Amino acid sequence: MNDGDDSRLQNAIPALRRYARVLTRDPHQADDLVQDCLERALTRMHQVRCRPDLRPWLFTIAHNLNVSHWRRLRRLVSFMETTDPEPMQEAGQIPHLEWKEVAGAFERLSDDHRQVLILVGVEGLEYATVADILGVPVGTVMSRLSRARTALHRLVEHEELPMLRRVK
Amino acid sequence: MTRPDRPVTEDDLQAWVDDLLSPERRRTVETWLDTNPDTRTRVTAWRAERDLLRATMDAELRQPVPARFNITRLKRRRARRFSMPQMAASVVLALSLGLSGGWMLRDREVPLGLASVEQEATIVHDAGKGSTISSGNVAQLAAWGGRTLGRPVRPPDLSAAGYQLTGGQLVTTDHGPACVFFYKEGNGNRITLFVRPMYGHDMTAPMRPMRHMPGYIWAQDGLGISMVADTPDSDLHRLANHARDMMGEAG
Repeated sequence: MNDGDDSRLQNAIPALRRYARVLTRDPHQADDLVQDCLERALTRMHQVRCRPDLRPWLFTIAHNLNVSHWRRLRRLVSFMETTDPEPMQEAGQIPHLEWKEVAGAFERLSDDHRQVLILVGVEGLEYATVADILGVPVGTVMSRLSRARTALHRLVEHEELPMLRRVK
Repeated sequence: MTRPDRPVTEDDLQAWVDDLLSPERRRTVETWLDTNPDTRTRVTAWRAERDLLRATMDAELRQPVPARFNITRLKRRRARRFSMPQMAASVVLALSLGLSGGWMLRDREVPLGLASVEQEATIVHDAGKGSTISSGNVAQLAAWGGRTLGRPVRPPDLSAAGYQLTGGQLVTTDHGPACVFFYKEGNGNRITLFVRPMYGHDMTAPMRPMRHMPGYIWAQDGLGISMVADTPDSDLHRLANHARDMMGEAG
């Protein structure tokens, strides 16, 4: 492995951590997942020599690790809490209420919906790449994306407020 | 390929949000949205929400990366973990071939300084089990080892503590030649003294206990030295100090 591979791997780590947080919903678990993922990646760097963007490859490893191991583990400690995601504090120039609403709504989405929204919407990956990462057909990515965006919008617009009122 | 003027689908709307439509197809979709204002409102909101989410989450990318994710460091740790069996193989091979083999210097990452001496000494101590090296070759070894190592190497006399020199061997390591001396005491307890030159790192280093074996390790005058025993022995530290003093005088 040469220095170029090293630095491309290093540069992809912030995105990998962010994706891992979406997968695990917990910053500590996310970093443990990142660690596992990097160790696996280091044994397989020959697969991606000279590939400019390592994100899809790393996301695939992270996704598979999460499915095989982390998801099971997480069930055991599930719902301990969903800590307020720290990064929100410094989202700077975005109108305060709006980003808070979107971020809050995003946290309430299902795992499938959050994953497809970060990979497509936030990372800007193409549909076929996302399908590879998630191990599903492109058609599934498209329908998930549509449902995820509908669900997010509904939450942002408080369309299910009547339900909350009834709780009282 | 699909025709640009085919009916607009839900997938087209997603691709419109994500800017993944071809220019022709985008024109078709835009035209269609002009006549479907409700849908335009919907996809415009999706796009705005996507942008907000992206802006929010991009803050995470600016967080500092913890040191544990430093790739250079991770690679070094991996190398350390994997070098042990390989190094063991090279040392054992040298023992079984006697001195006929050349030095097996490898181009790979191994720990530097005292840490590498520690690994090698551990392997040699284990590999020396059951070997039948006679004491007759010790003087020859000391001379030969002295030449190869570039300095006189005299095994310290530990008989005052009950340990007799039973043999010695010249071995190869990833860092070149090393001398090994074997001692035994009346109860059958064994001690191995491992000596090799240091190269740039830890030329002189204070004595410390070894991590995985009962033993002590130090460096003096450019020689890395390790004393390893089979079992933990409260006397071992004193014995190692004794050996260091004697080797200091000898040098």
